[in-house]
Amino acid sequence: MGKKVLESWWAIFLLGITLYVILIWSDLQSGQFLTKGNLLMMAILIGGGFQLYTWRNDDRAKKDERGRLIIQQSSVLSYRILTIALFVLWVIDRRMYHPDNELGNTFLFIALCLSLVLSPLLQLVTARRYL
Amino acid sequence: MNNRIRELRKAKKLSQEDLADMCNVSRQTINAIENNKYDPSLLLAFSLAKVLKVTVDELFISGMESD
Repeated sequence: MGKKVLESWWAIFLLGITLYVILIWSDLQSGQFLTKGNLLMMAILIGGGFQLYTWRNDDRAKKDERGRLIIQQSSVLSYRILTIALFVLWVIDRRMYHPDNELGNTFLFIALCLSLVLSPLLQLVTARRYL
Repeated sequence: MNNRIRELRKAKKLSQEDLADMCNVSRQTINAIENNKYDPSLLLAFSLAKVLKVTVDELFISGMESD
């Protein structure tokens, strides 16, 4: 089954990229490249490409114990990277746009605080399940 | 942890894909275990031992034993 299914997913992915290039091209003609829709779609396509390349659309590989371990390890690492990125973005945003505001961008600051609390909190909840 | 999975699998004329199907894991997982890049869970270790018709301690060689 695997190869045909994989080929069909690559075909869908390539179709998505083609549509995206057409969309970008038409937006470039009207002088609007950096729209939130374009950037979001680019992020989705890049993420989808990495997923497809890693798992080859093999559901068993993704869901067996080694697959779950890979997802778990990469989730922890990406959470840490995201927390650092939030901090850096908050500092840059505060210096550039809110130099007089103690909190800087409030929502970005709340997201940063949440990221610092969420993981230890969930560790506590998870640890209690093993007591 | 070193193991004898490749040796025992070949003795039974099974491919990695066959063994993976019998243990309900992916071929890549069997390959990673055989190359000592991944240590299986206890559940999978028992499943491998059952399929290869050996005991778990015959299947795996701990670091202490290999020293």
